[in-house]
Amino acid sequence: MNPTLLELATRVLRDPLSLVESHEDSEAYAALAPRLLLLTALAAGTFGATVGSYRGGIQVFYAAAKAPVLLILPLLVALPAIRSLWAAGGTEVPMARLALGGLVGLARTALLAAACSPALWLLYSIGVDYHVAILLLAASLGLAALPGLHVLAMIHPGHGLARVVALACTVAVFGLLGAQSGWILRPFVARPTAEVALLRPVEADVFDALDTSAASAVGQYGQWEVEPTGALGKLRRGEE
Amino acid sequence: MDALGPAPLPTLLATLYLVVGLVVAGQLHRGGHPATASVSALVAWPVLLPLTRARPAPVAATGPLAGRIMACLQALRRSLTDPATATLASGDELAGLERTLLAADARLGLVDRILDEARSDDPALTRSAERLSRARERSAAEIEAVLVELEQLRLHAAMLVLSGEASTLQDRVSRLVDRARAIEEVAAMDLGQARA
Repeated sequence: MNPTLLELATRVLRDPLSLVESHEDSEAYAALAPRLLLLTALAAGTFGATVGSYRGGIQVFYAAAKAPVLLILPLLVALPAIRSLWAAGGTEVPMARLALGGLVGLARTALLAAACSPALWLLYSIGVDYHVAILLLAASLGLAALPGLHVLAMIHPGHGLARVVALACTVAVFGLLGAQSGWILRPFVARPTAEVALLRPVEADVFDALDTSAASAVGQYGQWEVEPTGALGKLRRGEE
Repeated sequence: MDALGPAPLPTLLATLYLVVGLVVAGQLHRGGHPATASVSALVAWPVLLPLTRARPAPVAATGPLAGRIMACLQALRRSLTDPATATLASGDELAGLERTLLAADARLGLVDRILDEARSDDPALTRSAERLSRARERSAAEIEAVLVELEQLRLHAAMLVLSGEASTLQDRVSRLVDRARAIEEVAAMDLGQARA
């Protein structure tokens, strides 16, 4: 019998490895994968709504709708790359096991991000600075992602240096894709006085933005001239 | 602030992603996977792609009609070896149909064993057993009806091979697959009503 979503959430948090290992055959996988996606969407939606509460209004719904995409997109894009990187290190993992490990890790990240929501909401409600609010969002997502990535580490069967390198590459790929996905899907945190938009135009990249936010958070305000870069940025330049 | 306008490349990529999602969802549906997996494939097909290559585990033939189900499907497979009928149903479609029927039949076997063990003079228990028995009869009748229709389909296919119009039966195979899948839902509704 399929567990309820609450029971599934408990297993995702407490015993993710046994959840992966008991659902590797195709029938169990087909039953579990949609439930993990639903759990991720609900938990990430809760986190997104909390982040959107910094601005309030329609931004709560926009952020709640975009947060599940923010979490799921890097997994969808990164899976083949992760498998290739692991294979390059001499570790062959069946795609089903890797995808299931990724889904369980993703659900774990989403649940932990949702668990961070009350603390984040409290900080936002006492009126922290906009740039601090962005850094808090990045920090809570980064923290929540670590136990999720740990699930992938658990399913990696290798040992020694090859395992360390493979896992470091995994963290790097997910980190880059997650950060850039967040940048493309922004705004999540919008200034209370800003005009609300579902998506902002593509400009520069996430690392410029985090650098600027970090500088602004310590009071070093400077002029930030953004330049559209990358495939989407070039398209935008072409429009102008 | 400007909203991101529709650009050719993102639109093309999004369309391509959706098209691949539709293809994967169709393959999962034909392979007999749950509808939730097919729907999920529309939005997250890369993580469901391994299912399109995996063969579902065979269902144990433990029900009272298992022999007849396997014989019926085997006969149908033999009938569809003619080039004129080969396109009526894919091997995956027939395998999915067989799995669904065997799974429904295995549930009948389970209910039979429960009813055998639940013989008692207690009126409440007797009433529950009667309701369960009625639900079991309805499921058995549905499986029987699908088997009869499969037999008819085999005969019609053989007749239509002679006239070269076998393709007119293609929809009928799909309808049978849907009907077999509905047995589980009907049984669940019957049991729900029995519990009420």
